[in-house]
Amino acid sequence: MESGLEVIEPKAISQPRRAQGWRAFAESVVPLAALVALVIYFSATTPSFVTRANFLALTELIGPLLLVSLGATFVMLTGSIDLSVGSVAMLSGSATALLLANTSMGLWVVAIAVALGALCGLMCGVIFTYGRVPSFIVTLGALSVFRGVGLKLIDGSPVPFDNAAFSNLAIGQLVPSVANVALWGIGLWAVGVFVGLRTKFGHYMYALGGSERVVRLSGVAVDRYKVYPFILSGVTAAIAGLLSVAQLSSGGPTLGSSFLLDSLAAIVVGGTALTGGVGGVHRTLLGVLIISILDDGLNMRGVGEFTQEIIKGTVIVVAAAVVMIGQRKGIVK
Amino acid sequence: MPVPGVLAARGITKAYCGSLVLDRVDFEVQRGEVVGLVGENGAGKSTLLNILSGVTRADQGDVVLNGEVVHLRNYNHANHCGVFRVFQESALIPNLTVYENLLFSHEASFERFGGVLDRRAMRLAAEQILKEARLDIGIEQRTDELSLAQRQALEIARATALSFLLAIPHPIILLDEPTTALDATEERATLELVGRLKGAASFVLISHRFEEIFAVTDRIYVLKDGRMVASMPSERATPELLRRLMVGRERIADASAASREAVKAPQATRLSVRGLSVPGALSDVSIDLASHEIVGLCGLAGSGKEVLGRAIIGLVKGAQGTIMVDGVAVRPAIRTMMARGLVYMPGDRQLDGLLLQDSIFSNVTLASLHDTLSNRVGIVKFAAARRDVLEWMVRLRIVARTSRVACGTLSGGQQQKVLFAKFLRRSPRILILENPTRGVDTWTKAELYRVLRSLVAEGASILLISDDLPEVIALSDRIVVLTQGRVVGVARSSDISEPSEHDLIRMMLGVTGLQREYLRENAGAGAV
Repeated sequence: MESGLEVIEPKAISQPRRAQGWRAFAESVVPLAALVALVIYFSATTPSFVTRANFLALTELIGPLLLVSLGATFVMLTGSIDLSVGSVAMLSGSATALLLANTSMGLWVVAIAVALGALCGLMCGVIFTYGRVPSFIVTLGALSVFRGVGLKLIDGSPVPFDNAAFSNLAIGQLVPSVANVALWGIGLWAVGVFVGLRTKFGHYMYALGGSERVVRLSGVAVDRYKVYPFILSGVTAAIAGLLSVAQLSSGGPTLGSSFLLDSLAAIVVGGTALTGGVGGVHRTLLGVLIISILDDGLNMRGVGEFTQEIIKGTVIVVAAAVVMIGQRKGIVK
Repeated sequence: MPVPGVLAARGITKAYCGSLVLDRVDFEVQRGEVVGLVGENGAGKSTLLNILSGVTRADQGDVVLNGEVVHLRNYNHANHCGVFRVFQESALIPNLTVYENLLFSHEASFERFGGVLDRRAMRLAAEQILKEARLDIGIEQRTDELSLAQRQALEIARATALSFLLAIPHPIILLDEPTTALDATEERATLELVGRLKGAASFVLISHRFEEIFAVTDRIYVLKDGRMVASMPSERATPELLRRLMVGRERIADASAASREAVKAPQATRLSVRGLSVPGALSDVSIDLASHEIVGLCGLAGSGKEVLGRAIIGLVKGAQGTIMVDGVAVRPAIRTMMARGLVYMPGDRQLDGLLLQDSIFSNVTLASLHDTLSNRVGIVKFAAARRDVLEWMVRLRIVARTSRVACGTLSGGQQQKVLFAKFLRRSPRILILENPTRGVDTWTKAELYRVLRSLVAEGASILLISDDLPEVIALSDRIVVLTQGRVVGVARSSDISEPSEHDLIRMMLGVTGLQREYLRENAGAGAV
């Protein structure tokens, strides 16, 4: 054994590109510190924040956002982007609501919603990979198409339904004070973390964000792996949509309207670069928590809607800047 | 006494992550001198150049220009102080024109009122510069349309141009392995350019090629493990002396036929390429590769050898021909080939071979995740992978503190070793290698040759496609020569004799080629 060669156990195959010194510190600690700071701030200044009811409300926010951001994180890791997540959620929500209102399918709608999401993702992925259309454009178009289809389905107005079992999927509380939707979110997040860090699929996602050429020359079926993350993104968006519908017991045209921007914000704030190759699902949870707490806390404080937007936007820019600082490329040779 | 054009480093020390990269290094360039800097990969040459050109700062020590200590803020500042650099990887912007690249980042000299560029003046200046450097390149051409050699020459011209622009009488130009990616003719042209510019500028030349160093330098410095261990006038240097100083022990037996181990006679044909054609590049090329055999492939630029490797594994559109592995016709596709024990190691490790921002572990495992290193569900076998990577790091002597180090921080030779590990860990039976030791120092080269030879002794077959003629000659049992897409000759090596570079070049040029050259030189008129 050569002297100086430590036997280090790599925790994951794809190490996030570690910067040196204070940058590494900034990258990993700042989001967490920000989260803690936010919690402390709101707890201290708004008594209604620290209540059981608010905690429940918070979990109802975190659940869907986490779900939507999960699949989208994988897409972003490869260096692409999926702008259609909000529309897929809305489409899946509309279909779900319609089926629940007009048929006796009951919980089987979950399967339909998932299949729908997968189909949407597949379409985007295929056009992107084989049609060589940049992901930004494909999903931008898909955003409108899926939304249009969803609106047509429900004729532009909310479709209420009454199915306690289904609504329980989201608003029930298996764990007291924690909405079920959050459990779904955390559960799938944990699976996502494992997949991202310990499977070949996950490694390929990071690698594609680094260089597609290298991955292709390494004997990997690249095209397949370019389509998969979009399918994943479609599925998680669809699940987010169906659980949102369960929360409201109705599927409406405004479902998931904030999903796109909030999920992008959550992913970037969490530490995944827009260019891919760095970050991952484990970081997205942090971003989701920050965005959700910010939303909820500002609401509790009675901050006006417009001011909220300004604050949120500022937070996103600052967070992205910090993340970028942590990733400055080192000098090669 | 301050003499214009003198660049010196005094006591430069630099550490990265706790390991000392430069240790109290002293270095000096006189006016009009060409100084060579040699050392193994990882010895610190590029870091020294980084510090001298303002790209990084030393932890301790000073950079002295014209007798005065300077604190270089960044590369642009270094330019204004008179130091210019031609980087190992091209610093030209591919979609800009030649004249835009020549003057890039110094447009301020051509700004009129309001920041508008005086392009006419830029064009005139560019033409003047190219004329003085005697470079036949159109100023309006897109840079990515130029050949590698032309781009290299452009970069050198750019260095001198900027010194002219900034009114620096005696610039210092740092050349970081300028001819690594060039073939023989291009290399000669570059060295001639340096020779011509010698009077007006001072040069520091980093190179692994001793012929180059001896041909062009006045003085040579030897860097070893971060310390400047020797400096001498070039006349007094010999390859053995330099190697001994660089490595500290008797030079390892060169890769020559005489030292080749007795290898079993070539046996069954492992790879058979028949009638391989690529429109515009290859024409009806057929090659057989047997086990226990190394077949070398050489040719000048335009011979088609650049596409041959990729054509065999199916990455070239429009390629036609039959590929047979172990007697069975195979559809050319990387995964199919890899499943049959064939690997293709790309020639450009930075672009095609490695994910520079990812760890050694990440890179070495990348080509094996789809079969050996994951289970059926796709979960990676961590323990096995970790053991394996560490084993390969020891076997190939990849010097890094842990396997989590990013490949981009490694030197060229170390990166190449990581690339080797990535493909060799698949226990390939057939290897297609492209320029496997490009930009790699002598010591590492010998190590890699040893590895390749032991693979062959165990029965592997290697198709070695390389620009490095001495390498091809030393390693190959048989050498196939390509010219303009066709096989024009095969030279064999035996235990007693091997073809010389001269023989091979003659084959590459063909008799007609030699005739043309002769005619051109003697007739004195324009192109034939």
